[in-house]
Amino acid sequence: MNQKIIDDLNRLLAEKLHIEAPAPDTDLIETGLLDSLRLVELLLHIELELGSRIAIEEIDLDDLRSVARIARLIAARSARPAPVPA
Amino acid sequence: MSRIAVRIEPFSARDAHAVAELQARVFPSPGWRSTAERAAYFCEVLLEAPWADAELPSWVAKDGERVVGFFGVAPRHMRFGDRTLRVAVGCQFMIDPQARPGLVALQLMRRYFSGPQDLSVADGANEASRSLWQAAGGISSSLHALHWVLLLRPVQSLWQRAARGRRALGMLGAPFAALADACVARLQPLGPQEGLREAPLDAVSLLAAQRELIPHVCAMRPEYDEHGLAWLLEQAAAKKRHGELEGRLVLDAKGVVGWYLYYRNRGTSQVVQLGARRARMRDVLGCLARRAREGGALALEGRMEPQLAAELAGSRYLLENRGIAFLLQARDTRLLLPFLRGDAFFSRLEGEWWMRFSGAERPEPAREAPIPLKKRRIVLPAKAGT
Repeated sequence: MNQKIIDDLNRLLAEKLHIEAPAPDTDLIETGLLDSLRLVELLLHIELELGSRIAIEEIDLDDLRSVARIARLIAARSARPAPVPA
Repeated sequence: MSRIAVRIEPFSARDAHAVAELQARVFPSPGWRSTAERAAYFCEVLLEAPWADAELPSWVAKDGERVVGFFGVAPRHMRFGDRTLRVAVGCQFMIDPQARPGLVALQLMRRYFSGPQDLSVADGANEASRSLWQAAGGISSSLHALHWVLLLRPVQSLWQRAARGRRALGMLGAPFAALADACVARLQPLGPQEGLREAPLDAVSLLAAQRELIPHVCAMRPEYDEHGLAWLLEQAAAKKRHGELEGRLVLDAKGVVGWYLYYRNRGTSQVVQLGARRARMRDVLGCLARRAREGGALALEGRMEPQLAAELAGSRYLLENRGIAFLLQARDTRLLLPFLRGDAFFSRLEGEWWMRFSGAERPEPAREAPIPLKKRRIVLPAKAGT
């Protein structure tokens, strides 16, 4: 399942942010490919196109360092049971 | 283990020089005479203000010993029902463009939001800050982002705006614009308002007026004491960029109707704070408009606030959106509602607008001034406000 998400993320990075991630484990922040603003933009596209909202106030920023880590985060979130309406 | 190397620490006087150097790199301004002067202002406004609070510090991002980011926080107090709210006003958010790649801006924003404040507000934010703020869980108020403009000398004011940057064109049309405005003023005289009088405003009378009137108008309001308000007025008066700060109480036979606080100049006068009894804002605005026009102003300008929008219904004002965002965040989202429904009193004096981080500013240049009619030998019968 993660490979599908990784492919989707790579497509979003290329199409929306014009970023080519060399490998899924490449540190996008350390290499300067993502900064705070671009990361926010990426999260917006993830929400719009992949339907997964990542609230950055709730997570460890290190979980957003690479395509593989972001994919794991999205997969973990989609595996959660849907909230039951109150 | 975290790989993010940047440390986020509370701002202290020890960091002031490095923060001032960062500000000089990010926001170069000729207004400062020295880095020491910049550093002293950071301490004055953020560490020595009457509401300075060790639990609501400004934040510094450090890579080793190098300061690579800053998020200024000016604490304030507001009253909502029987609660005193701690408000953290954000300002001077800056990141060193030469810093190593990282998420410094997001780290600073998250640290700011994680403080014990009830409410976070930023009223001078740019588009980049707005994106980060919203991503970190805040909201943006579109109405507060608008500015209203009341043209006091409409022809000169519009001519000046149209001729901006073309001095010859501006000078060529100025006498005709002045003549046209004189005619407009005769046709539509401003005040004096029937039964109203004015008196000078100081910290004591402003505090008394705020305590008397605002609770009847807004559920959420600033909570000042005399010392704090006097300090704030002194700070605002030192901001000379927009002219001389002037405040007036407006009274009728029953007492205080309202007040206004604005920068008196001969161009566009900036309105800092307006207050009025319910349904009397129009009277206060009328007094302000007359006073400003007598002082030579071409136009009045202020920030739009929801309660003001209602009071201005039926009046002719211009609206401008300059892309300056008004941002809010609260863990208890019920605290955001008063802002959005016009039930919070939060003027330019409560936000960061009065601050002068761009240095010892000079009044607006004389090009803004209308050309006196007598010098142009176009002599009309004398009339107040023309």
